[in-house]
Amino acid sequence: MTPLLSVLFSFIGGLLVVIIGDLVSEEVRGQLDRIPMVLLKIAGRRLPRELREEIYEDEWLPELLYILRRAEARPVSRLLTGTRFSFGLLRSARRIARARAGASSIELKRLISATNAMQVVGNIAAVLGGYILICGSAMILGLVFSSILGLVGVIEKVGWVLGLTLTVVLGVLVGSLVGLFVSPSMRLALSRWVKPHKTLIVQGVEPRHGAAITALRALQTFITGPKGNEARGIGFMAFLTYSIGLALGIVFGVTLRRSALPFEIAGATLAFLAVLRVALVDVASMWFRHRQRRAIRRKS
Amino acid sequence: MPLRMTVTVAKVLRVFLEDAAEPRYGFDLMQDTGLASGTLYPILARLEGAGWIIGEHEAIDPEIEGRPARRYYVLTAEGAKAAREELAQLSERLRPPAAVRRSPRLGENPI
Repeated sequence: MTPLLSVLFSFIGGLLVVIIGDLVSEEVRGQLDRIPMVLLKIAGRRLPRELREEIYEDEWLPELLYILRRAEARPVSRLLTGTRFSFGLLRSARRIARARAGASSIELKRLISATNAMQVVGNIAAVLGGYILICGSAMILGLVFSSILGLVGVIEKVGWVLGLTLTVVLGVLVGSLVGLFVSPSMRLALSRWVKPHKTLIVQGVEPRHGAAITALRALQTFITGPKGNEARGIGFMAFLTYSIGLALGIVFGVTLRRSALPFEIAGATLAFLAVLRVALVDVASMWFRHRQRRAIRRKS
Repeated sequence: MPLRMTVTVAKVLRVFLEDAAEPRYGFDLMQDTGLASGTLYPILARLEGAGWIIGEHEAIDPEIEGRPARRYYVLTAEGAKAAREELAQLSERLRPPAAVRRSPRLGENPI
Protein backbone atom coordinates (compact mmCIF):
# COMPACT_ATOMS: atom_id res chain seq x y z
CA MET A 1 0.00 0.00 0.00
CA THR A 2 1.36 3.30 -1.04
CA PRO A 3 1.59 6.12 1.51
CA LEU A 4 -1.01 8.01 -0.48
CA LEU A 5 -3.54 5.20 -0.16
CA SER A 6 -2.78 4.87 3.58
CA VAL A 7 -3.55 8.56 4.07
CA LEU A 8 -6.74 8.24 2.02
CA PHE A 9 -7.98 5.20 4.00
CA SER A 10 -7.11 6.88 7.28
CA PHE A 11 -9.07 9.95 6.22
CA ILE A 12 -12.12 7.92 5.16
CA GLY A 13 -11.92 5.82 8.33
CA GLY A 14 -11.77 8.94 10.49
CA LEU A 15 -14.68 10.45 8.64
CA LEU A 16 -16.77 7.30 9.12
CA VAL A 17 -15.97 7.23 12.86
CA VAL A 18 -17.08 10.86 13.22
CA ILE A 19 -20.30 10.30 11.25
CA ILE A 20 -21.21 7.10 13.10
CA GLY A 21 -20.30 8.68 16.42
CA ASP A 22 -22.52 11.62 15.64
CA LEU A 23 -25.41 9.35 14.61
CA VAL A 24 -25.04 7.24 17.75
CA SER A 25 -24.88 10.31 19.96
CA GLU A 26 -28.01 11.74 18.26
CA GLU A 27 -29.79 8.43 18.81
CA VAL A 28 -28.70 8.26 22.44
CA ARG A 29 -29.85 11.86 23.00
CA GLY A 30 -33.27 11.00 21.55
CA GLN A 31 -33.52 7.87 23.68
CA LEU A 32 -32.44 9.77 26.80
CA ASP A 33 -35.31 12.22 26.31
CA ARG A 34 -37.72 9.31 26.18
CA ILE A 35 -37.02 8.30 29.79
CA PRO A 36 -38.71 11.33 31.42
CA MET A 37 -41.48 11.19 28.84
CA VAL A 38 -42.26 7.56 29.72
CA LEU A 39 -42.13 8.35 33.44
CA LEU A 40 -44.53 11.25 32.94
CA LYS A 41 -46.87 9.06 30.94
CA ILE A 42 -46.98 6.60 33.84
CA ALA A 43 -47.65 9.51 36.19
CA GLY A 44 -50.51 10.59 33.91
CA ARG A 45 -51.98 7.09 34.12
CA ARG A 46 -52.20 7.47 37.87
CA LEU A 47 -54.59 10.39 37.44
CA PRO A 48 -58.35 9.86 37.27
CA ARG A 49 -59.44 9.65 33.62
CA GLU A 50 -61.55 12.82 33.79
CA LEU A 51 -58.59 14.89 35.03
CA ARG A 52 -56.00 13.44 32.67
CA GLU A 53 -56.52 15.90 29.85
CA GLU A 54 -56.54 18.94 32.14
CA ILE A 55 -53.50 17.94 34.19
CA TYR A 56 -51.35 15.64 32.08
CA GLU A 57 -51.91 16.98 28.57
CA ASP A 58 -52.53 20.66 29.34
CA GLU A 59 -49.98 21.18 32.09
CA TRP A 60 -47.40 18.47 32.76
CA LEU A 61 -46.57 17.51 29.19
CA PRO A 62 -46.05 21.08 27.91
CA GLU A 63 -43.86 21.78 30.96
CA LEU A 64 -41.72 18.67 30.37
CA LEU A 65 -41.38 19.46 26.66
CA TYR A 66 -40.23 22.94 27.61
CA ILE A 67 -37.65 21.45 29.99
CA LEU A 68 -36.40 19.02 27.35
CA ARG A 69 -36.23 21.58 24.55
CA ARG A 70 -34.50 24.37 26.36
CA ALA A 71 -31.72 25.47 24.06
CA GLU A 72 -29.17 25.99 26.81
CA ALA A 73 -29.58 22.57 28.45
CA ARG A 74 -27.02 19.82 27.78
CA PRO A 75 -28.35 16.28 27.11
CA VAL A 76 -27.38 14.86 30.50
CA SER A 77 -28.70 17.83 32.50
CA ARG A 78 -31.90 17.69 30.44
CA LEU A 79 -32.21 14.00 31.28
CA LEU A 80 -31.64 14.61 34.99
CA THR A 81 -33.98 17.61 35.25
CA GLY A 82 -36.68 15.96 33.14
CA THR A 83 -36.49 12.70 35.08
CA ARG A 84 -36.59 14.53 38.40
CA PHE A 85 -39.64 16.49 37.19
CA SER A 86 -41.49 13.39 35.97
CA PHE A 87 -40.56 11.25 38.95
CA GLY A 88 -41.84 13.88 41.40
CA LEU A 89 -45.18 13.98 39.61
CA LEU A 90 -45.32 10.20 39.48
CA ARG A 91 -44.94 10.18 43.24
CA SER A 92 -47.62 12.79 43.95
CA ALA A 93 -50.11 12.32 41.08
CA ARG A 94 -52.92 11.16 43.36
CA ARG A 95 -52.41 14.04 45.78
CA ILE A 96 -52.48 16.55 42.91
CA ALA A 97 -55.65 14.97 41.53
CA ARG A 98 -57.37 15.24 44.92
CA ALA A 99 -56.37 18.90 45.28
CA ARG A 100 -57.40 19.68 41.70
CA ALA A 101 -60.81 18.09 42.17
CA GLY A 102 -61.32 20.81 44.80
CA ALA A 103 -60.07 23.43 42.34
CA SER A 104 -62.68 22.23 39.85
CA SER A 105 -65.41 23.40 42.25
CA ILE A 106 -63.91 26.87 42.23
CA GLU A 107 -63.67 26.79 38.45
CA LEU A 108 -67.27 25.60 38.20
CA LYS A 109 -68.48 28.42 40.41
CA ARG A 110 -66.54 30.91 38.28
CA LEU A 111 -68.07 29.47 35.11
CA ILE A 112 -71.57 29.62 36.55
CA SER A 113 -71.03 33.24 37.60
CA ALA A 114 -69.64 34.16 34.16
CA THR A 115 -72.55 32.45 32.35
CA ASN A 116 -75.07 34.21 34.52
CA ALA A 117 -73.34 37.60 34.11
CA MET A 118 -73.49 37.19 30.33
CA GLN A 119 -77.16 36.30 30.49
CA VAL A 120 -77.91 39.31 32.68
CA VAL A 121 -76.15 41.72 30.29
CA GLY A 122 -77.78 40.02 27.27
CA ASN A 123 -81.21 40.20 28.92
CA ILE A 124 -80.75 43.88 29.75
CA ALA A 125 -79.82 44.46 26.09
CA ALA A 126 -83.03 42.66 25.05
CA VAL A 127 -85.14 44.70 27.48
CA LEU A 128 -83.53 47.98 26.44
CA GLY A 129 -83.92 47.05 22.77
CA GLY A 130 -87.60 46.21 23.33
CA TYR A 131 -88.23 49.51 25.08
CA ILE A 132 -86.43 51.48 22.35
CA LEU A 133 -88.46 49.65 19.69
CA ILE A 134 -91.80 50.24 21.39
CA CYS A 135 -91.12 53.84 22.40
CA GLY A 136 -89.64 54.71 18.99
CA SER A 137 -92.63 53.13 17.21
CA ALA A 138 -95.09 54.94 19.48
CA MET A 139 -93.36 58.27 18.82
CA ILE A 140 -93.38 57.62 15.05
CA LEU A 141 -97.09 56.77 15.37
CA GLY A 142 -97.71 60.09 17.13
CA LEU A 143 -95.86 62.01 14.42
CA VAL A 144 -97.57 60.11 11.57
CA PHE A 145 -100.98 60.50 13.23
CA SER A 146 -100.60 64.29 13.41
CA SER A 147 -99.53 64.31 9.73
CA ILE A 148 -102.45 62.09 8.58
CA LEU A 149 -104.97 64.30 10.36
CA GLY A 150 -103.34 67.41 8.87
CA LEU A 151 -102.56 68.78 12.31
CA VAL A 152 -98.83 69.51 11.83
CA GLY A 153 -98.14 72.96 13.26
CA VAL A 154 -101.89 73.58 13.60
CA ILE A 155 -101.37 75.38 16.92
CA GLU A 156 -100.27 78.49 15.03
CA LYS A 157 -103.66 78.63 13.29
CA VAL A 158 -106.05 77.60 16.07
CA GLY A 159 -104.23 79.13 19.03
CA TRP A 160 -102.58 77.63 22.10
CA VAL A 161 -105.68 76.68 24.07
CA LEU A 162 -107.38 74.72 21.32
CA GLY A 163 -104.10 73.28 20.10
CA LEU A 164 -103.12 71.96 23.54
CA THR A 165 -106.64 70.64 24.19
CA LEU A 166 -106.50 68.79 20.90
CA THR A 167 -103.09 67.35 21.80
CA VAL A 168 -104.23 66.17 25.24
CA VAL A 169 -107.50 64.66 24.00
CA LEU A 170 -105.92 62.82 21.07
CA GLY A 171 -102.97 61.87 23.22
CA VAL A 172 -105.11 60.33 25.97
CA LEU A 173 -107.59 58.62 23.66
CA VAL A 174 -105.21 57.08 21.13
CA GLY A 175 -102.26 56.89 23.52
CA SER A 176 -104.24 54.77 25.99
CA LEU A 177 -105.18 52.37 23.20
CA VAL A 178 -101.54 52.20 22.09
CA GLY A 179 -100.46 51.52 25.68
CA LEU A 180 -103.09 48.83 26.15
CA PHE A 181 -102.21 47.14 22.85
CA VAL A 182 -98.46 47.30 23.39
CA SER A 183 -98.25 45.82 26.90
CA PRO A 184 -99.27 42.21 26.13
CA SER A 185 -97.27 42.06 22.91
CA MET A 186 -94.17 43.36 24.68
CA ARG A 187 -94.67 40.83 27.48
CA LEU A 188 -94.89 38.10 24.86
CA ALA A 189 -91.74 39.35 23.09
CA LEU A 190 -89.77 39.57 26.35
CA SER A 191 -90.86 36.11 27.43
CA ARG A 192 -89.16 34.85 24.26
CA TRP A 193 -86.10 37.08 24.37
CA VAL A 194 -85.32 37.28 28.06
CA LYS A 195 -83.84 34.06 29.37
CA PRO A 196 -84.55 33.29 33.01
CA HIS A 197 -81.49 32.87 35.22
CA LYS A 198 -81.29 29.13 34.59
CA THR A 199 -77.56 29.01 34.32
CA LEU A 200 -77.19 26.67 37.19
CA ILE A 201 -76.64 23.12 36.13
CA VAL A 202 -75.57 22.18 39.63
CA GLN A 203 -78.23 22.66 42.24
CA GLY A 204 -77.30 24.86 45.16
CA VAL A 205 -74.42 26.66 43.44
CA GLU A 206 -75.31 30.33 43.23
CA PRO A 207 -73.39 32.74 40.97
CA ARG A 208 -71.32 35.46 42.61
CA HIS A 209 -71.21 38.89 41.02
CA GLY A 210 -69.75 42.30 41.59
CA ALA A 211 -71.87 45.35 42.33
CA ALA A 212 -72.53 46.28 38.68
CA ILE A 213 -73.87 42.87 37.59
CA THR A 214 -75.84 42.50 40.83
CA ALA A 215 -77.51 45.87 40.19
CA LEU A 216 -78.23 44.98 36.54
CA ARG A 217 -79.69 41.64 37.59
CA ALA A 218 -81.95 43.34 40.16
CA LEU A 219 -83.03 45.88 37.52
CA GLN A 220 -83.83 43.15 35.02
CA THR A 221 -85.78 41.16 37.62
CA PHE A 222 -87.70 44.32 38.52
CA ILE A 223 -88.62 45.05 34.87
CA THR A 224 -89.29 41.56 33.57
CA GLY A 225 -90.21 39.75 36.79
CA PRO A 226 -88.48 36.60 38.04
CA LYS A 227 -89.79 34.52 35.12
CA GLY A 228 -88.82 37.10 32.51
CA ASN A 229 -92.35 37.42 31.11
CA GLU A 230 -93.37 40.86 32.35
CA ALA A 231 -92.75 44.29 30.87
CA ARG A 232 -93.21 46.69 33.73
CA GLY A 233 -94.05 50.26 32.69
CA ILE A 234 -94.10 49.61 28.94
CA GLY A 235 -97.76 50.62 28.54
CA PHE A 236 -97.16 53.96 30.21
CA MET A 237 -93.92 54.52 28.26
CA ALA A 238 -95.72 53.82 24.97
CA PHE A 239 -98.52 56.20 25.96
CA LEU A 240 -96.02 58.88 26.93
CA THR A 241 -93.84 58.63 23.81
CA TYR A 242 -96.88 58.50 21.53
CA SER A 243 -98.16 61.69 23.20
CA ILE A 244 -94.73 63.34 22.83
CA GLY A 245 -94.72 62.45 19.12
CA LEU A 246 -98.20 63.88 18.75
CA ALA A 247 -97.27 67.06 20.62
CA LEU A 248 -94.12 67.47 18.52
CA GLY A 249 -96.29 67.35 15.41
CA ILE A 250 -99.18 69.56 16.58
CA VAL A 251 -97.28 72.06 18.71
CA PHE A 252 -93.86 72.28 17.08
CA GLY A 253 -94.73 71.30 13.52
CA VAL A 254 -92.24 68.42 13.44
CA THR A 255 -92.68 65.80 10.72
CA LEU A 256 -91.15 62.36 10.46
CA ARG A 257 -89.28 63.28 7.28
CA ARG A 258 -87.57 66.24 8.95
CA SER A 259 -86.59 64.32 12.08
CA ALA A 260 -85.24 61.09 10.68
CA LEU A 261 -81.80 61.25 12.34
CA PRO A 262 -82.85 60.37 15.93
CA PHE A 263 -84.83 57.42 14.60
CA GLU A 264 -81.88 56.26 12.51
CA ILE A 265 -79.68 56.41 15.63
CA ALA A 266 -82.34 54.49 17.57
CA GLY A 267 -82.47 51.90 14.78
CA ALA A 268 -78.70 51.44 14.83
CA THR A 269 -78.76 51.13 18.65
CA LEU A 270 -81.52 48.56 18.36
CA ALA A 271 -79.51 46.52 15.86
CA PHE A 272 -76.45 46.67 18.13
CA LEU A 273 -78.48 45.56 21.17
CA ALA A 274 -79.99 42.67 19.20
CA VAL A 275 -76.54 41.48 18.13
CA LEU A 276 -75.25 41.87 21.70
CA ARG A 277 -78.15 39.85 23.08
CA VAL A 278 -77.68 37.04 20.57
CA ALA A 279 -73.90 37.02 21.08
CA LEU A 280 -74.12 36.93 24.87
CA VAL A 281 -77.17 34.78 25.51
CA ASP A 282 -77.29 32.42 22.55
CA VAL A 283 -73.62 32.04 21.65
CA ALA A 284 -71.28 32.86 24.53
CA SER A 285 -73.40 31.56 27.39
CA MET A 286 -74.06 28.34 25.46
CA TRP A 287 -70.33 27.86 25.16
CA PHE A 288 -69.89 28.58 28.86
CA ARG A 289 -72.60 26.06 29.69
CA HIS A 290 -70.63 23.53 27.67
CA ARG A 291 -67.56 24.38 29.78
CA GLN A 292 -69.70 23.98 32.91
CA ARG A 293 -70.64 20.48 31.80
CA ARG A 294 -66.97 19.65 31.27
CA ALA A 295 -66.13 21.01 34.71
CA ILE A 296 -68.90 18.93 36.25
CA ARG A 297 -67.61 15.81 34.50
CA ARG A 298 -64.14 16.51 35.89
CA LYS A 299 -65.56 17.12 39.35
CA SER A 300 -67.65 13.96 39.50
CA MET B 1 -61.43 28.14 51.46
CA PRO B 2 -59.02 27.51 54.37
CA LEU B 3 -55.44 26.69 53.45
CA ARG B 4 -52.98 24.94 55.75
CA MET B 5 -49.95 27.18 55.93
CA THR B 6 -46.66 25.30 56.05
CA VAL B 7 -43.11 26.44 55.47
CA THR B 8 -43.12 25.02 51.92
CA VAL B 9 -46.40 26.78 51.08
CA ALA B 10 -44.88 29.97 52.48
CA LYS B 11 -41.82 29.48 50.25
CA VAL B 12 -44.03 29.29 47.16
CA LEU B 13 -46.12 32.28 48.22
CA ARG B 14 -43.02 34.35 48.87
CA VAL B 15 -41.93 33.84 45.24
CA PHE B 16 -45.39 34.82 44.01
CA LEU B 17 -45.34 37.94 46.19
CA GLU B 18 -42.01 39.13 44.82
CA ASP B 19 -44.04 40.44 41.89
CA ALA B 20 -47.73 39.68 42.34
CA ALA B 21 -48.59 40.41 38.69
CA GLU B 22 -45.82 38.22 37.25
CA PRO B 23 -46.97 34.93 35.70
CA ARG B 24 -45.16 31.94 37.25
CA TYR B 25 -44.53 28.66 35.48
CA GLY B 26 -44.15 25.34 37.28
CA PHE B 27 -40.55 24.71 36.25
CA ASP B 28 -39.48 28.28 37.08
CA LEU B 29 -41.15 27.97 40.49
CA MET B 30 -39.25 24.72 41.07
CA GLN B 31 -36.00 26.57 40.40
CA ASP B 32 -36.95 29.63 42.47
CA THR B 33 -38.16 27.66 45.50
CA GLY B 34 -35.84 24.67 45.25
CA LEU B 35 -38.87 22.40 45.63
CA ALA B 36 -39.34 19.17 43.68
CA SER B 37 -42.27 18.89 41.29
CA GLY B 38 -43.90 16.33 43.59
CA THR B 39 -43.98 18.91 46.38
CA LEU B 40 -44.66 22.01 44.31
CA TYR B 41 -47.59 20.88 42.16
CA PRO B 42 -49.83 19.71 45.03
CA ILE B 43 -49.23 23.11 46.64
CA LEU B 44 -50.16 24.90 43.41
CA ALA B 45 -53.33 22.82 43.16
CA ARG B 46 -54.26 23.67 46.75
CA LEU B 47 -53.56 27.37 46.21
CA GLU B 48 -55.69 27.31 43.06
CA GLY B 49 -58.42 25.47 44.92
CA ALA B 50 -58.38 28.16 47.59
CA GLY B 51 -58.68 30.84 44.89
CA TRP B 52 -55.32 32.40 45.80
CA ILE B 53 -53.81 31.78 42.38
CA ILE B 54 -55.34 31.28 38.99
CA GLY B 55 -53.99 29.09 36.19
CA GLU B 56 -53.95 30.22 32.56
CA HIS B 57 -52.33 29.06 29.36
CA GLU B 58 -49.63 31.18 27.75
CA ALA B 59 -50.62 32.82 24.47
CA ILE B 60 -48.21 31.30 21.97
CA ASP B 61 -48.51 29.70 18.57
CA PRO B 62 -47.41 26.09 19.20
CA GLU B 63 -46.38 25.72 15.55
CA ILE B 64 -44.00 28.65 15.73
CA GLU B 65 -42.62 27.79 19.18
CA GLY B 66 -42.37 24.07 18.41
CA ARG B 67 -43.98 23.14 21.73
CA PRO B 68 -47.46 23.27 23.31
CA ALA B 69 -48.54 26.25 25.44
CA ARG B 70 -47.45 26.01 29.07
CA ARG B 71 -49.72 26.69 32.00
CA TYR B 72 -48.79 29.57 34.25
CA TYR B 73 -50.15 30.85 37.52
CA VAL B 74 -50.87 34.38 38.70
CA LEU B 75 -51.69 35.52 42.18
CA THR B 76 -55.26 36.81 42.52
CA ALA B 77 -55.96 40.06 44.40
CA GLU B 78 -57.64 38.07 47.15
CA GLY B 79 -54.71 35.64 47.18
CA ALA B 80 -52.12 38.41 47.43
CA LYS B 81 -53.89 39.94 50.42
CA ALA B 82 -54.38 36.59 52.17
CA ALA B 83 -50.80 35.49 51.40
CA ARG B 84 -49.33 38.65 52.92
CA GLU B 85 -51.40 38.20 56.07
CA GLU B 86 -50.56 34.51 56.40
CA LEU B 87 -46.84 35.09 55.82
CA ALA B 88 -46.82 37.82 58.46
CA GLN B 89 -48.55 35.51 60.93
CA LEU B 90 -46.16 32.65 60.15
CA SER B 91 -43.18 34.92 60.56
CA GLU B 92 -44.59 36.06 63.90
CA ARG B 93 -45.04 32.47 65.05
CA LEU B 94 -41.50 31.51 64.05
CA ARG B 95 -39.83 34.58 65.57
CA PRO B 96 -37.65 33.66 68.58
CA PRO B 97 -38.56 35.34 71.88
CA ALA B 98 -36.82 38.70 72.44
CA ALA B 99 -34.92 37.73 75.65
CA VAL B 100 -33.98 34.06 75.90
CA ARG B 101 -33.17 33.02 79.41
CA ARG B 102 -29.83 31.19 79.35
CA SER B 103 -29.54 28.18 81.71
CA PRO B 104 -26.55 28.50 84.08
CA ARG B 105 -23.41 26.67 83.06
CA LEU B 106 -21.65 24.19 85.28
CA GLY B 107 -19.89 25.98 88.11
CA GLU B 108 -21.69 29.26 87.43
CA ASN B 109 -23.69 30.98 90.15
CA PRO B 110 -27.36 30.65 89.18
CA ILE B 111 -28.12 34.06 90.78
